[in-house]
Amino acid sequence: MDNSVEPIITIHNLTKRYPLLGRPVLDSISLTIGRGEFFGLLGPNGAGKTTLISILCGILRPNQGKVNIFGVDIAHHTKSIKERIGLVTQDIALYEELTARENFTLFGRLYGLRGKYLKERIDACLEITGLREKADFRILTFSGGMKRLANLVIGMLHEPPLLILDEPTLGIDTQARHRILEILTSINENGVSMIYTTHYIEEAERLCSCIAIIDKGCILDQGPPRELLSRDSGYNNLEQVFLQLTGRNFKD
Amino acid sequence: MLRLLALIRKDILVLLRDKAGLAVLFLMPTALVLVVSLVHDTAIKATQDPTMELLLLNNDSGTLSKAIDHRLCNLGFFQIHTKIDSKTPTPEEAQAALSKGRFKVCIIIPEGISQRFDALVKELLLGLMPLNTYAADPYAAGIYVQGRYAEERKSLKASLAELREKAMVDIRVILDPTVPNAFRETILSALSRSVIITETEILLNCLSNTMGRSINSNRQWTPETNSLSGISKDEEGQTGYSKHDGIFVKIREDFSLNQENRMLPTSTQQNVPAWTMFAMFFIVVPLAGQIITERQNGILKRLLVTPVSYFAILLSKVIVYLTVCLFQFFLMLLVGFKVLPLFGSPQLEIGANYLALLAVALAAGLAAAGFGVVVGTVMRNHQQASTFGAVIIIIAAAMGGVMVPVYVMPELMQKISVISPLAWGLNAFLDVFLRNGNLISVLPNFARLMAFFGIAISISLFYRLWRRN
Repeated sequence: MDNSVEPIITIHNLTKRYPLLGRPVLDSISLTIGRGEFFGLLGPNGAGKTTLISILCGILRPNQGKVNIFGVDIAHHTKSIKERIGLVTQDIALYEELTARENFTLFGRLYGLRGKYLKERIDACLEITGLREKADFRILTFSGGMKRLANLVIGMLHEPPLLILDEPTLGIDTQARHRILEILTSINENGVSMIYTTHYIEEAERLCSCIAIIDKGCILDQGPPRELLSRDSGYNNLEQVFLQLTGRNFKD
Repeated sequence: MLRLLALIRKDILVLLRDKAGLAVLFLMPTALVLVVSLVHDTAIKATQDPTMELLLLNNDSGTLSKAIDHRLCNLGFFQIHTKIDSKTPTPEEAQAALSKGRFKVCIIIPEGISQRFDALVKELLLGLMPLNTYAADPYAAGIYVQGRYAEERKSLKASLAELREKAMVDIRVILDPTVPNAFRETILSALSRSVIITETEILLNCLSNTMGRSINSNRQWTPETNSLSGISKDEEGQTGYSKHDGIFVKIREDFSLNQENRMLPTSTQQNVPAWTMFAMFFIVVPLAGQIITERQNGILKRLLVTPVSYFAILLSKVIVYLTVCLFQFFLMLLVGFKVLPLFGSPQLEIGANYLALLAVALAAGLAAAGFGVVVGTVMRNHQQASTFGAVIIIIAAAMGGVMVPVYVMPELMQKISVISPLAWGLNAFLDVFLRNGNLISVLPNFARLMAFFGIAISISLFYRLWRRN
């Protein structure tokens, strides 16, 4: 992270264990994410990415360590932090029996949006994502790409200063992925901080201002993509950096 | 063929590795068979058992009582018991045995009945017109077979009537409320016949001894005509004697103090609230299913990220499904009022305390919703939730008196039934329907249902907290 950038997230010595696993899922992780950064979190399956995101969102509690978001400890100010975070889940977490507009209205209201402002935000998000014509159709009728776009809307509806995205382009076609990445870039340029996990290296290289590589609960390396590439003259791309650090194929 | 075998192998492996599913498949039906069989045991036995066990307490040692005792024992269609656990019981102990369901009928012949009867007979004989008038006719002296000696008959009848008004000799018959009416009539008729024949014999012998002649007493007396007393059906109510009573011995019916001497519901009063409770608790299937779906497709995670508490997420489901339960309740009432009478069933009577009814319906709905929430929270998938939830409800329904009334069940099952939430709701409804129950009287069952709801929601919240940590 650039030291002149104010930190939005500070993670210190974070450890998380699950009862039936021998090793900790997160092992004394320390991390700082700056305001306005597009922060990428790369790692193979089982590295601890989803667990880390769950802790940042307040869904899980760590066994040890401290997490500060917007300058406050998440353990004691969970509700106020949740009001300022948007989450785009890996699953298509939408009510398929409801229409897109009904889903957006529900979650908008849960975030405290009301009346005219809620309607305007829904319309704006429908416009950005190109879902205006499908707003009153049930999610059940949407294609995979459209569901991902609707999923994205829920995360950004309340204009959070921090958006956390857990593999938001998983399993969709190129056009839909391209659209999502464009939207995310635009949002980030407007000052929204992002934490982004993905299995697609090229996405991370394209979008992220800073990347952390995580495996077996530990941060192996972090920094801007160019900095990571410069660690070794043999690195031509980020995938080589990753494979060198984790020692196995990326899509495990 | 090989492909089919491969598929079969796969399905077997999947099944064997679902331990919870296997438990549901085998343990649940076992529990169901056990509970329902025990519940139905008494009801089915009652329709099959040709003999009825009867407890006979003869506290008298006189002629009348011994003869009645002897006649009853020789009838052949009762199994007469005179002891409980090899001990002659007191009337209170006998009543307690009935209340516990060990016997269905108890006949108590009080001490002194023979003596009292003898005294009445003597008084009767002294009051008769001089008997030497009839010395020439062995069938005279007040015993009237074919309508002869009308004047004398009238005299005897009047004397009897006068004495009957003074007589206070009761044989008590205590019946379990579950005894079918046909059995009740059989018992009373058999006892009545035994009493009347015995009384008549003794009376005839006394008359015979007084006259110095023997009189054949085998030729008359049908209890139905009750010709000795001459009591007609119209006069029954006026004299305080009924068709089953003897000459001087009355037969007094009581019901055992079973479950606070409650009145019995009609089939409609029993089934409408019973199946309403069943329907309410069956919301466990859709409610638990919805919770599991939200968890499995990530919606729960999304909801938990919003600034809304987990309690509020659960509460919304409770409120919606409580509303469903209340609609079910009103629909079932409507069926009881309007539909069942069309098929010949009695119309539902619900008493007058509508507020108490609503309170019970609310508490039952909350308990049902709470159960659905905890099943959805704890069970891992739809199969487990739907099977577990459904079977538990069926067991609780069987135990709670939904399929067979609790008072018909064996004693053991009656004791166990108190743990069923369906029994709490059903008993509270019946309290209002049958005993003019109010908010105070339904309070214990109301409190149990609310506590059940509280515990279920607490378990769900603590489980979520544990998962979070």
